[in-house]
Amino acid sequence: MGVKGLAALLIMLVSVAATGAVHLVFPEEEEVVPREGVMVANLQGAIEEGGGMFMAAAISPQRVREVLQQAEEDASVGAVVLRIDSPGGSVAASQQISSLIKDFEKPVVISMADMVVSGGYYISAPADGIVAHPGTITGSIGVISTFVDLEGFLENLGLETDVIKSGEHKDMFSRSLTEEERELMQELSDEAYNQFVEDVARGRDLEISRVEEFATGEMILGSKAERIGLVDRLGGEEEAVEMAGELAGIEDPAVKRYGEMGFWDMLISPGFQASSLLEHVVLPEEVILMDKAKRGGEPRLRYEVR
Amino acid sequence: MNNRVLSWLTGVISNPVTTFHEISREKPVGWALAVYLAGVLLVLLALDTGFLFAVFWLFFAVVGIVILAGVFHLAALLLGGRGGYTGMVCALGFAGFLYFLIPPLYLLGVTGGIPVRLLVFAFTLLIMLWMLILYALGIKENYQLTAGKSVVVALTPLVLAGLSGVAAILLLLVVVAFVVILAV
Repeated sequence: MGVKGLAALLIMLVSVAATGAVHLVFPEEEEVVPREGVMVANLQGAIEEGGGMFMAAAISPQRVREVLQQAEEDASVGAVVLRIDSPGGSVAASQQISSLIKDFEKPVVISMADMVVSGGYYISAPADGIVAHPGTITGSIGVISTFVDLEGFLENLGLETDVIKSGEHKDMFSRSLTEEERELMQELSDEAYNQFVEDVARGRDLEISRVEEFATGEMILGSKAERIGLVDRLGGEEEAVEMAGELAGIEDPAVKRYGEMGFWDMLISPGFQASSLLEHVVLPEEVILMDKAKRGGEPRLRYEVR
Repeated sequence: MNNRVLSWLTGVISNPVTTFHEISREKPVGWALAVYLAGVLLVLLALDTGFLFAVFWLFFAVVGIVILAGVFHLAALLLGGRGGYTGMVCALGFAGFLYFLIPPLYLLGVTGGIPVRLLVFAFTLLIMLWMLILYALGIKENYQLTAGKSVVVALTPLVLAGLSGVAAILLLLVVVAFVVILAV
């Protein structure tokens, strides 16, 4: 082998050695495990079913499901804090959200903002912890169902309604209620109330009789709620994060915020408000009143304040 | 690996004109591809690109040398050159011996400070330029072209790539304009 051959071999050997040396200098990088933390999500507005494009300002089961799903999929999230501000809302939506929180595997702590009443409290009860400000308005455990009797209104407008029905009470919300129908509605309301009381008792680990003492529909402040066991601690979001960290066994948890407002939410919310404004400018007052009256005529049991 | 192949490898660096003349005459295509792929593989191993990425780049390297040789071949024939496609593949393969210089440079770069890294970067650019010169020399010997025409052929892929980029941008602009007109 001549000098040229040796030189070529030397170049190849140096190249192979350098490749090996690169791996010796930089061994395989260890997988970086992100610091465990607590996800904080803000939930504001009435509790309603749906959650489509125009529901950015409501607390819907869909929205809560999205929050919890993200927290479940993110290995760095050890617990969740839901910062709630809500006047309550529909019974079914409240119960759906309550189930989602109850069944969630990671600890969930509720941080109450200005007002968390009725359905707002209902969805808070099954959480692993509740933190409220001393001045937070909460409670209002009860059920309400209101509807508008349109009989007089339609009469004034000179409108008559023809009703063809099969079933004695099928038209009960198109006219004034009979005494029997009022009792039927009261039974429904009482049943929903009992469900409310039982679920709060179960969620807060209290006797049913104890819950019934303050389940009068009255609103109470956070300071009193803490004394009677409806709330675990007094404080704000920081205390809620601290509690969530304790429940998840995380020291000094990092705070990870759930998307404040997505692109669509930002795009749609002002549009929704604009459409509402447009409705008031374009439509005659009578038509708007009629629409509201019609919507008020839909009977719904609600965990909310009126 | 016999002495002749080893002397060609050194010859690519020390005496490229004579070496490419011999390679274009003898056409050792198997050795050429082996040298080229070994060089690419060493670079991929040094850069630690990951298995999937390495497989992709190896595939891309094989396809690349076939297409590059094809472009050089067509351009050289258009400029009046006389030579075979296999000879061009062999020249490109042996020019790939320069890839063996990259791992030692990379090692210097990752262990040294910023001035060393800048030097390594400059050397890497020099290697790329050197490779382009080797391509031109390989084209000259394989197709019996003048030095000027060989440089033109060697630059053809770069010019084509540039023109393709400009064409792609123009096409994108036309599509955007079309969409805007439709939307309005």
